[in-house]
Amino acid sequence: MTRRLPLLLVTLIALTGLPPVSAWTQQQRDTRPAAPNVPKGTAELAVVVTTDDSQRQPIRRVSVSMQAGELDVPNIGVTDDAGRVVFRGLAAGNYLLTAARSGYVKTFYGSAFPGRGPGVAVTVLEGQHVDGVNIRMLRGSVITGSLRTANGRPAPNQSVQAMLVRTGGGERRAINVEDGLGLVTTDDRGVYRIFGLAPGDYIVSVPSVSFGSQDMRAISAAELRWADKAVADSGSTGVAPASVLPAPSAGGTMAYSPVYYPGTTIVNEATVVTLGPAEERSGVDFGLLLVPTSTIKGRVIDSDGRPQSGVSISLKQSTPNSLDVFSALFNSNGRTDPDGTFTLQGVKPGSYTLSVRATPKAPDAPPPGAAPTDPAAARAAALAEIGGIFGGGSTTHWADENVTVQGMDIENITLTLRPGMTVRGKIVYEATTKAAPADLTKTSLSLSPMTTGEAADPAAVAAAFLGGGASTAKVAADGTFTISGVAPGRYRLNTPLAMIPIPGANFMTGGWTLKSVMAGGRDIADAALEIKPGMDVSGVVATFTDKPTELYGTVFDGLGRVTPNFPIVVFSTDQAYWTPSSRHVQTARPASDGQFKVTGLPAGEYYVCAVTAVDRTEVYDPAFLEQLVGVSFKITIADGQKLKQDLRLGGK
Amino acid sequence: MVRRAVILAAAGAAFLIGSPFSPVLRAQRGAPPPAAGQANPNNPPKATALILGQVVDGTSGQPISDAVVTLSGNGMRGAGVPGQINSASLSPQQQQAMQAALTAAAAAAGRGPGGPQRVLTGADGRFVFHDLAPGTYQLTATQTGYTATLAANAGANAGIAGLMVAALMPSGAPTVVPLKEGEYATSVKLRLWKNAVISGTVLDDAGEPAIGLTVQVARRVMGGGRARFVPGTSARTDDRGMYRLSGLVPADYLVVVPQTQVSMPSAIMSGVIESITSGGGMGPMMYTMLDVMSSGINPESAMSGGVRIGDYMVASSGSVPLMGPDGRLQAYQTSFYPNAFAPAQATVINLKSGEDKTDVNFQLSLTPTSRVSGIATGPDGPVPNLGIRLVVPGDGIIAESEFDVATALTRADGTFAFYGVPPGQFLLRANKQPRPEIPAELLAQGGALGNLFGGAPPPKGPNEMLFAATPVSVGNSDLDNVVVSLATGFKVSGRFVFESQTNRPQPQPNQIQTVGVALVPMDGRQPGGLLGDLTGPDRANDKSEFKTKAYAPGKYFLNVNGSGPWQVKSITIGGRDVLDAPLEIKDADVSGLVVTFTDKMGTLTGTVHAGAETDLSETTVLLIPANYRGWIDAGMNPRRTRTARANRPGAYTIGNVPPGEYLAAALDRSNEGDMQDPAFIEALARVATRVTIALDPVTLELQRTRVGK
Repeated sequence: MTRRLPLLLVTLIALTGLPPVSAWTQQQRDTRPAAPNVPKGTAELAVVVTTDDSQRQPIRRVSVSMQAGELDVPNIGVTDDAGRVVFRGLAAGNYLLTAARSGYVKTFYGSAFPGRGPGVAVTVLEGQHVDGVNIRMLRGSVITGSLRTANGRPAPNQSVQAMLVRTGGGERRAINVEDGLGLVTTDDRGVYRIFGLAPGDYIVSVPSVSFGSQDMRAISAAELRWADKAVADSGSTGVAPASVLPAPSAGGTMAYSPVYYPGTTIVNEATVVTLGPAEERSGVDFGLLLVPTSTIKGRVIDSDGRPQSGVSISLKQSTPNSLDVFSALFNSNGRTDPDGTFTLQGVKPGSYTLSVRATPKAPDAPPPGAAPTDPAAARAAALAEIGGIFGGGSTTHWADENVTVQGMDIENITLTLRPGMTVRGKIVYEATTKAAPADLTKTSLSLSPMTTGEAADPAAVAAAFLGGGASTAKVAADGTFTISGVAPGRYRLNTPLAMIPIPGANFMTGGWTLKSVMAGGRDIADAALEIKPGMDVSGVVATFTDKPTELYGTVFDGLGRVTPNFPIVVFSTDQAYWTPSSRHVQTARPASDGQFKVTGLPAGEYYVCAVTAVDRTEVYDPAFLEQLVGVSFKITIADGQKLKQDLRLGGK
Repeated sequence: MVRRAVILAAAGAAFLIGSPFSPVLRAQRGAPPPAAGQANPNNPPKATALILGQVVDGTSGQPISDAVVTLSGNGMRGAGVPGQINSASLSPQQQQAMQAALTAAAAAAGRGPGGPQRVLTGADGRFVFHDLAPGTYQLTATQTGYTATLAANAGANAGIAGLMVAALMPSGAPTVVPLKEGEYATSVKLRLWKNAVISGTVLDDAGEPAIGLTVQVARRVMGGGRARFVPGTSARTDDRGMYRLSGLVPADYLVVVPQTQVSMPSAIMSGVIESITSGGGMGPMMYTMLDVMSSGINPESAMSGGVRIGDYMVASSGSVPLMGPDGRLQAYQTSFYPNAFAPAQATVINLKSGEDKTDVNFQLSLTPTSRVSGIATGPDGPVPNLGIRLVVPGDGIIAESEFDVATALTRADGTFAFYGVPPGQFLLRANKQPRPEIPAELLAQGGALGNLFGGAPPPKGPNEMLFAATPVSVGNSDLDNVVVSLATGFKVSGRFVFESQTNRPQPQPNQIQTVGVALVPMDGRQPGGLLGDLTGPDRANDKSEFKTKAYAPGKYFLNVNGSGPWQVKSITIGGRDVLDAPLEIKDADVSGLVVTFTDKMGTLTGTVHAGAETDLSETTVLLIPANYRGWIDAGMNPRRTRTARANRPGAYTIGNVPPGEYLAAALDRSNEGDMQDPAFIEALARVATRVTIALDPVTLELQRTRVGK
């Protein structure tokens, strides 16, 4: 059943036709009511959308969205046959314009980068009629080609994906093309066409092969010759002759592998396709790749040598690369048999870590998988299993082993379960106005594995969201807590919902704010705690406060007027805290009077800036924050401090 | 990304709790029964048998290279068979399909030692499996661009389960080859049929390429005696307005550019997000998502590419909503090739295997539209978070359209508005499912699931299914103050009777509890939308009495699954059969049903002959009731309309057949048709052999024949 869940999740993705992330951010903006209180004015803004070439042809049916800052509810107009759209009844303000039409590159007015924001706002004065704003749109670039099978025949119905290559935070990363434009399917001739792309660097891949991705053998001519002879020798009897030569030995197993253009499984060997403006790049042809596969066999025992049955084994690539979109695809998992042995088939070449997280079974435990016949027991078992998937269960022991696979089978791997490490500490409530909770055992803290490169995989996000792999602290009445059975790895210790990348999720703790979780001088709520084999961690102090810090102020525009339209980003000067859902990285929306408030920043030094736009899903991206450092100024906030800091938008 | 996760979580949770998939999960958990037909281990048979064959194009006979051939079977060490599907929330057809899918998936998955072998054919399409022990083997071939099954009705009525089946079973039913010790099965032909293609160009109202629009086929299937056009494969137009729908199996199709005007109150998502960011747990959001999705509306669509009109987000399937000079919204309507707005005026394209149908072009035009608004009320007042679909009603020939004209969601006060509705006669359809129980044990377990639902108690909602079908006539102006009145449906009750033919003791209460009762709409369409039926089938109490949940008025087939040796023999009400004939729910509860179970059913077995041919594995045996004409109006009952594949020597078995008079025929697979299509049934009856099936197995030798289509 555990193996079943990813399939269900994947199915649901397909069924619900989930839109790209941008729709989410747009919807987040819409959390405000339709703003009847926003004063309407008499100004007008006329926009003409044309092609971005010397012809300047008007483009019709372009959705032009106009917003007074990224937090405003957008007003959308559609261009007429002359490429023109007029927004009327506007109040004075600074407006951001975005143009979108299928087949064209989404254009942020004033942005130097096609397809990327933020743009430059157009200033409209009271009663002014602004004309002559020209948005120039690029026709989208195209990557097209054909895909062949290993034998050179057209490969229909295969996914082909173009992903943008961006460099940030010192590494190259593959980024999904917005609006799902990057992923297409080959037609019956094996031909694909990816259109509407912004100029840039792309890697093209077949991220999964729709058939033959499991172990198989190629039929050899020698085998067929042998069979023909054996059949001929049998005459018309239809049965095996008394003596037959042994069949030629079968070739090794192989499988279709995900492949990068121009035909490699290794991302660093992929050819980057650089697209110019409105370029149609044809002939991006490549072939599906057959790779040799291996079988890994071994067994899982406890420290007394007892075989462990029904234990899940996972095989993961040991050095995930954030440019490599396949790393998760090569992973696999299995389960041990009653004698504790396991077999993982179809393992593609690569370096992996074999991992087990389990609780050793008592010698007299009933065998797993024996389906209870009683409906109540069956229900209980099913619920327990679902609970396990949803992070309710936890294990006490672990075993990890690194293996390198190159087409040869690997046998006799023994994974010996070792007791997990223990994290001990104390929960402290710093009560100033509220009474500390009487029952400290109700305090929730959970230790969650820190994932790397959590870029694109929605299943991984869903799993993290559901608490997969997290262990919950057992809290005693005196506030001391214990988390046992922790496997080696990098973790964060936080409130259970804190890993959800939603601003504010950290604070769902009934009026108490997590002030810090200190271990070795670092706040491990936001930065990694490294658990090493055999090394317990103690002396962790998790502090909750009823007096969180507060950073507040007012945002003024260049004319000295209050403006509600520019979000504020506050982020730690310490890059170690630029982690997903970190309390050290926060955004705030100013209210209509320009006032903003950020609560619950841990004490420390921060950068503050106002931005024209922020994509909330990218706010924890080190590359994004690095860009902001130069336009920010520093503040320092102390424990419990309420700090006032006004912001004035410069002429940037 | 977050929203994605939230929706996945909500859907995943609903899914795992009492969904039609639970039986699949359970089936996966079951320990495999021991392999049958194994010889004495002290004197093991020699593994010297061989299968030598070729994968060929079913039409041209040409070899197919690069095909994957999978061999599985009980002659292979350690091979097992998958668990049994047993769920009353699925129709027998669905169960059959799911079972086949599980078998195929297990065969394809190849887990564990001794599992299936897979080989890749070379240029000549040939393959060999050797050193085989005696046993029964299944062979399947897969190749992208080809299909292994031509049966047009496979999975057509299966709804969400059908999607799973399609995903799991691209290869159709396997070819069965029994092997004796040392037997050489040569010249085994595995036929695949090349998929067909439909291509063309879509132009917008100004004659420019329409980019990024969805073009979809709707496959004609029969259900309840009427034609249904079931949405199928889709493609998007590229930057030249061109589309190419490939991978189509031979069938009758309409080609459609679907356009659904989706109107969604912005307050719903705002409320959801407020509930996350303001703290206090996510309970309300989870319940809202469950409510919205379980009423058959996909909340996603309004949020991608929507424009804001008043307090609503309005989107229309990838095209831009335009405000006309008269202030009326102009929209594209769902267009059927060639430029029709209703299936009845559309051209049905009959696709043959491998056919390349070009120039299926569309010229879209804008229609001035109106707003339809009002309030949805139920027995307890206004109904919030309710999905309402505005659909084209069916007539005597064609069932209700499966392409929604527009959808809307009610706001907290029960009010709704549809934007972009073209003139015409429509039905407003709504059904409100009671929320599934979220087991307290799960919530108490901690972990994220508990947290997701934690905090907020479920908001008030109906305990019973509520339904509405309100006709509206839309002209050239806005239609406001429409009242959609949801009413409770009606329940069906009765009792189980167990009649043993073999002196078997009466089943124990816990066994009776495994029997589920569900009603399946006569045309095979399942209400409930994305998440299907959240509550699952109803069960009997320990006195063998049952009472179902409420169903909307209409005609249904009762779907009662068996339990162990007990199979349903009859269902009657006042002596009238309602197992094989549909049960009509009018305006009151239905009581007094008697469901009789027996532990012995009929079996038809025999051999198919075709001249001197020795390989009959490409033959299908079809069984229909002798009085088939009485069934055609209601649709052929899948319990009595059965198919089975013969094995290589021609042997076949169809089990669990209700006693009665039947017609049987053996056809080459390429000659099969839609078992719900009256024309095919009539043609089949002309060449079929009459057979009486009683409780004792009946043997029937059949000559392979052909059906003229």
